[in-house]
Amino acid sequence: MSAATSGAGRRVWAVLELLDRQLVDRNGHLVGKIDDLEFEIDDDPGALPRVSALLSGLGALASHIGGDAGRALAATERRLAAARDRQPSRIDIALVQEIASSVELDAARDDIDTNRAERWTRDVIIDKIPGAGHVAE
Amino acid sequence: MLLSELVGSRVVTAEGDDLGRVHDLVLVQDGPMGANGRAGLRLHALAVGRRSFGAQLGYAQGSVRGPWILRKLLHRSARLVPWSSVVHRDDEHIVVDIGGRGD
Amino acid sequence: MKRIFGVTLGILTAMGGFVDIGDLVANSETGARFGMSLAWAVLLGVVGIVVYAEMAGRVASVTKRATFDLVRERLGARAGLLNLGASFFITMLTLIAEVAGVALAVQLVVDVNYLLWIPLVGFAVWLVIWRVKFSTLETVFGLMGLAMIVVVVTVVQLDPSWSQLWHHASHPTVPSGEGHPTYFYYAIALFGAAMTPYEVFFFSSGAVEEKWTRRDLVLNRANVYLGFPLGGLLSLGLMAGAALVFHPLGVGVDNLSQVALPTSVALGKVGLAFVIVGFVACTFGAALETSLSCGYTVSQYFGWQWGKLVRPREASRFHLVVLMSIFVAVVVGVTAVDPIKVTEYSIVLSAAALPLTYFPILVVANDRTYMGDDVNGPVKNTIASFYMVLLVVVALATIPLMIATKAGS
Repeated sequence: MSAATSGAGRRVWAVLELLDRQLVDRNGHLVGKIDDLEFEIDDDPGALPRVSALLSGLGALASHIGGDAGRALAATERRLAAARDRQPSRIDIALVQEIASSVELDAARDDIDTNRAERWTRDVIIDKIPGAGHVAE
Repeated sequence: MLLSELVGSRVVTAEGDDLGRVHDLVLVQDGPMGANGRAGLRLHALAVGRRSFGAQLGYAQGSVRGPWILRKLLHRSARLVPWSSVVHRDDEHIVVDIGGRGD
Repeated sequence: MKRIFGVTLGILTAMGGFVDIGDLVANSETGARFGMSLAWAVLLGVVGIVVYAEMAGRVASVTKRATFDLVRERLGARAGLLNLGASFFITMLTLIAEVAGVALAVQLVVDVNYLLWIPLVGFAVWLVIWRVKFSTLETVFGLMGLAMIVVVVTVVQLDPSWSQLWHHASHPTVPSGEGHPTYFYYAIALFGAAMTPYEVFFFSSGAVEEKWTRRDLVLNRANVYLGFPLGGLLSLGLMAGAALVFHPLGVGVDNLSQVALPTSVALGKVGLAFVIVGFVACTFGAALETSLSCGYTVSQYFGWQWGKLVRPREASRFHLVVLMSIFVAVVVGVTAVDPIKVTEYSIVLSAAALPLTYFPILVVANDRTYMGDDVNGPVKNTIASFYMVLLVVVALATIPLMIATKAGS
């Protein structure tokens, strides 16, 4: 399934192989799904659009779903993100290490923008419960 | 430009023929080398077709071939329209110039 | 030697964990009302869950991806979200029923109103999930569930005419006084009680939690091919016990103490003790599985870190969903909704929702780029395709039948 190291010439179906795929950080932790792709189009005529970033998070998911459900999700994301005015979570394509059944990123989850909701839940709720750091395995 | 803006858009020819909707995008890893030491992904073609159910299952792209009953119901070959033939794009439609009938 | 121990343990755990409040209610009610004439529905459901769970377990072992992760990947975000809504709602209903079921079972022992037990049960369920290792939790409650073997002993003790029992089971007829729609409604209920979706969410997520690989496929098959049918035997034991004790009297079953009655009649106090232990183990184990499944489905759709394989603080949103699900189940439970009614709705709606999650698993099990040589072979695919069609038929028939029979009354 994986191509050679540089993967030159490999064909990737964007919807089948990238969209809604699990993102994994460099330590194997799960850090969300790919909800959308961002393309850049250079100015030269005839240049093909390049994938510049992966988008992940409620805002990106909302535009991906569209319709009423999408608008509801977008409204939720705006409410939750009121304090911050950053872009919906964007992962630069340069961070992508491997495209297999999940997409591996060359970054740790605490450095990945999309994981801020997880960190918030951890800090505000879960860490307050005794035993949150307990290793169950 | 976002993928979500392309997928689901109706594709029509310059003459007005309706080719269907965009189901998938064909990317090829043949762009300039990125910071991660890999060639970038460039958008080469749109996969266009009639029914949109099951575009992500794998039947249209050929990676799933069974079971027989689902393949019969869901298999269809996607028509690939090269990106270079796109002449105009707005919120609802993508207009392409495929110059004559057939691929 | 260790291998054999592991395989045996897996089979016993699967057997003991098979029965939950849905099976307790459905098999007893049906046995009382229809005798053994719906035994075929249990068999159909058991074969179905074997097929489904084997595929989901194989997919999870080879791809390291659990069911709901693949549901979104193959159906897309939009259809996946609708699917999540339906699956979560039904799993939630089941959780409410299981938590109330534990409370009802405890009430059989300590004569304090079950409503007072519900919050304690909820807390206990959450605490076990929070602190106890996954494999321990699965094994302990699975093995305790083996106390339900007493229902098979019950049937033997009641000394029935085996040929007559067999005749009724193999020549299904709609008893006089019951309509065909009601008959098929209960068939769907039994089917849904055997083929519960949460079981597959739990099973496949557990395979990923325990880091199963291709080498564990044999273990997977042993658990599923032997454990589940043996669990189905327990269901049939419940049905036969009710058929022998209640059916001739024309009495129905509508509470948990009646479910225990055949055992008490056949084996006295000792039998009753075993069956109550069985009830508590089965419903508590199922409550653990359904709460975890509430967390699994939501987390796997959104791609959050999930599972007990990491510290709770590393899967914060997952644990928040689990906690909130248990909380909602407790809150709804103490409003004194009839747990039996909730159970009935949960199993029937489960049957209706089966195609939603079965379909993507069937597709992935046929994806060579994912599964390599472990794709479904032609025989498996034929049986699996038959079940795909059957599940769709069942799903389409459920709501009309529910309306036509006023939910089986």
